[in-house]
Amino acid sequence: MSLVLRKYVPQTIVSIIIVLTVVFYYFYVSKEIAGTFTTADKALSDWVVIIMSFALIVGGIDILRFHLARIRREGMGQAPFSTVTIALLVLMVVFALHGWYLSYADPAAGIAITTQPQFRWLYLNVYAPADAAVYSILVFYIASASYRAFRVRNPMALLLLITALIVVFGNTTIGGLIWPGFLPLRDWIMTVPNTAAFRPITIGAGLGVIILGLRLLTWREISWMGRRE
Amino acid sequence: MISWDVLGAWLCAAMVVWIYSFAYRDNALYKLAEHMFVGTAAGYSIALALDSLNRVVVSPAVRSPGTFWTTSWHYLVPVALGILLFAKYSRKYYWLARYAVAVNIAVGSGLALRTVPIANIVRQITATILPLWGSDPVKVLNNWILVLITLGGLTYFLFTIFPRVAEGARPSPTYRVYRSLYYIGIYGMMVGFGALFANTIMTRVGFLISIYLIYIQPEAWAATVAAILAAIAIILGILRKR
Repeated sequence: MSLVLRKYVPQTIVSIIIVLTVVFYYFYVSKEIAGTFTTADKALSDWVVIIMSFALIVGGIDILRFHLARIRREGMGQAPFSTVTIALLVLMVVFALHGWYLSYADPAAGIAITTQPQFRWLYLNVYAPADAAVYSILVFYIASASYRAFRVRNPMALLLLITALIVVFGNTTIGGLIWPGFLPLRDWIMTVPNTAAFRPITIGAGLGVIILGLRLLTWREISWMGRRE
Repeated sequence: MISWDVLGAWLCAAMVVWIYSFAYRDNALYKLAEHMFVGTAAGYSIALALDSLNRVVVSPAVRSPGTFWTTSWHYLVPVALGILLFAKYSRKYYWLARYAVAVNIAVGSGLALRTVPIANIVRQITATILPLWGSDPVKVLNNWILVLITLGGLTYFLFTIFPRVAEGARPSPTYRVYRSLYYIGIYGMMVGFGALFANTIMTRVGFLISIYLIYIQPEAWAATVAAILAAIAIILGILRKR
């Protein structure tokens, strides 16, 4: 019985939902059924939003637990850094909860979870610049990766290098000054060979998604369940 | 008295400089900025989750309970399933979290199975069925390139059938066609990857320049001096490593 509840019931839920969402989308039975399906479809999408919200909260708690464990395990070397992470996480949540409280206690103030002043201050002065800086620092790694990728060792690497140079020069104003043909050549590369090159990859990814769906439907894909029974 | 705005601007600039310091080597200030980023990012995710729950469930239930209990009562089911996600911390009842994951996985997969066959397969195939003869030679050439590279790429990813030639034997016509398409596919994908790589580089450099402009404007000379100093620091770092 316990194995049924632990393993087979969740797998049955997966199969039933997949069958219902797919079958009623492709097959028209009657107007009433189509109407009911549309309502149920929207409700299911909202269900996912709600469950995902809880999953995000669980993820935040996981980060908290991870850093508490690191402080215990690694001692004073790591403690100041992990403490900063925990403190900022807790502060952000406390400010968000305060904003939530204010949205009901004083609706006229117009303060909500994400518009709470202290929350916004942390978001604008810590999260936003750090996010942009972390993303843009990758340019240094890209520079090193470009050096390795563009070393001309065979005709394929040469083709990669020439294409990349044409696209870079076609995208910049200096390219147009060097040779006006860079821009039309870049446009041609993007519309013809580039489209054709990614078409098989798109088809392959589509087949992969269908196979994954079928594996879930037939209970062959069980990695989502986490621990093995 | 320093205002919160000024303090915020300094913190903002410090975060950028501390994070960029990693370009030279790993250091305590980078680690501090990294941990601050992780903490705020996790807090921000939780806040977004709370906001989402508020908009979909709590606000309708509190502000218009009549409508909620007649039309949206079923939202209590995903709320219960979401609470079950916390069971993953229990050694005994960890399996309860699977019910919520099951609904998410199934809806995601079901939605993908509805859109992907049309968008990723049927439309891609129909877009490849192009006229290979006509009066406009440029268009015809482009169509040939499109069709050959697509077929070549598909041949490259074909792992089920793999024509081989016995040692010493002459290659069969099938093998020659397969081999030609295979190479057309590889070279076509190299062009695609070159374009992708170039666009990635451009995006990253664009981010770098925008960050640089935001924090170092309005003085143009200051920006130039900062860029030269940064370049010297990077070159010195590389030379010292050698």
